[in-house]
Amino acid sequence: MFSNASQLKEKLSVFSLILLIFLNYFLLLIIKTNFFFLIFGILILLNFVLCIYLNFKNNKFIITIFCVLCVISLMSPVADWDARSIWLFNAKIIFFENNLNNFFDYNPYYSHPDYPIFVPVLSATLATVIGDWNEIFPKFSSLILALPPLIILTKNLKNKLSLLIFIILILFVYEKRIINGEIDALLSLYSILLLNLIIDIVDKKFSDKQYKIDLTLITLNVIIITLLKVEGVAIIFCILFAYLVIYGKSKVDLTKTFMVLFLLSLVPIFYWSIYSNNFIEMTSARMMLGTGERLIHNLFDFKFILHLINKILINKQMFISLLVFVFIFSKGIIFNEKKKIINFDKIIFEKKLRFCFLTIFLYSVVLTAVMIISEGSTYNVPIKYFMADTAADRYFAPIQSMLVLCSIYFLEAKKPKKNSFSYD
Amino acid sequence: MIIIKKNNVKKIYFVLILILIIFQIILIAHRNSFELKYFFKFHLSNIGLKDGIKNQKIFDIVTLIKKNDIKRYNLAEDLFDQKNKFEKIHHKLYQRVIEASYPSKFSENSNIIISLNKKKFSTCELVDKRGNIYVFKC
Repeated sequence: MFSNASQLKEKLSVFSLILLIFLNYFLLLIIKTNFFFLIFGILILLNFVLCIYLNFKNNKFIITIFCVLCVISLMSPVADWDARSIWLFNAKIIFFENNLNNFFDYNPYYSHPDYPIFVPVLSATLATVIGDWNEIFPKFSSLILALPPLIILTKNLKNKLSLLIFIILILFVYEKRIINGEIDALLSLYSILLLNLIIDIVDKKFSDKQYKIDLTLITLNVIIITLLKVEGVAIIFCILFAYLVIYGKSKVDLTKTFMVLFLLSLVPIFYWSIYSNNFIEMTSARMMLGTGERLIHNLFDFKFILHLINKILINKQMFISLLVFVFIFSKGIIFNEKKKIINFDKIIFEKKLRFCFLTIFLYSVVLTAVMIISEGSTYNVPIKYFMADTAADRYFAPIQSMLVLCSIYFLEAKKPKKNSFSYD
Repeated sequence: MIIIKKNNVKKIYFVLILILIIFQIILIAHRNSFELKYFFKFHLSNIGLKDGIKNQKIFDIVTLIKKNDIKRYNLAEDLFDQKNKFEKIHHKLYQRVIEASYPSKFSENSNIIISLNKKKFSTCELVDKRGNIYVFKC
């Protein structure tokens, strides 16, 4: 990931930021005092600033945009529905209760207290630092969590066009979601980071030390993805399955290591699920999906299916991602009119791209199935096609990000032609 | 024939992209209810509540709850939009009041009732009012 030894400080700052956020989350279950929150909050903020400072020199453009987003976040209150009613409301309860003992006492139905509280704990920590709750600072947790993947991902970009595509992802696909207190953009960032880390560790021959660092990063990444949102678990399984299909036989030793690490990384989310289920009548997943009994009925409701496909594909975020994807990949597909054949560039069939494509396909199938099953749930707002209308674009954010990641991979793998056109 | 040097083309592209990025950042700020008045005020208590809620009625209710330090409250039916036929829990007012007024808690058994209708609760003690929202102790 960080090949140059001089970048040790930058690497350490990113590592320590992730580590502090982790400790803050896990120790909440053990140490239940406001003072603990305060100390960790200050340490996390200092580390965050240090991270920005150390990475600015080698990553000026992205860090500048990131800092502008930070300023916007610190001057805008949280207004979006899910951010207010779920994520920051749960954070507010943690902040006022100081611990998890009374967290489940007051859950007014819509707040989904069984959702993972990784981000809400960080928001509550930030509120402790300023001494009281407000509508601005706690949502800054999204940006603190977004910094490590942004730094790691942009370090790997090889040219300016890749950087531009990455900026399109941040500003035009994630848009306000990266700062509005919702989790979808974070989930997407960490998902593509995981794909990137896996591809890196498979493709490159690292030193033993570098190999261990990357394995640690992958493990932390898997834990974060699962603790961000329930969908994270589905993403992990899709990535793992795609890995087994594409690399499973050729990288036997690494596959065994991954299997163990992935399974171990699922422990925190399973622990949280078991813990939270003791306090609630019905899990949010059960409320949404039931026992899957609506799948067949909804599957044959063609009007609904068309509506769902429309909502998944026809939205700004998906349109931009697909536009970038098609535009970049059109370079690799040549239609020979005389022979009436289509030639595909070999790069399209490279393992890393197949790995991404398979993950995209699997996760799309899982998400579409979830959306089909959830339609008509008695626990939803009783509006026809409610989930399709309100969540289709958000839920597919990781898919949109993976499409953009594929475009970057293709672009970087494709070498420029020697006799290409020049303006000179 | 207009000949543009490669470096100039690059500069034009760069400027165009930069303008596009600046416009997009302005759009993001606008969509996040960005306000200059919050400059360096992110550390103040309850800052941003009004712009976050974006509804005067809900803001008045939450302000009354906080001002009177009400621990438990009930919301009268007349507060809810009668045209909205959904259950109360699906109303914006219900969700926003509950999350914005926390740590004060909603309870249907509370004797503190918040209402729009002064006549309906004429037998109760009027605790406070803000706009056309009343707090009664029954």
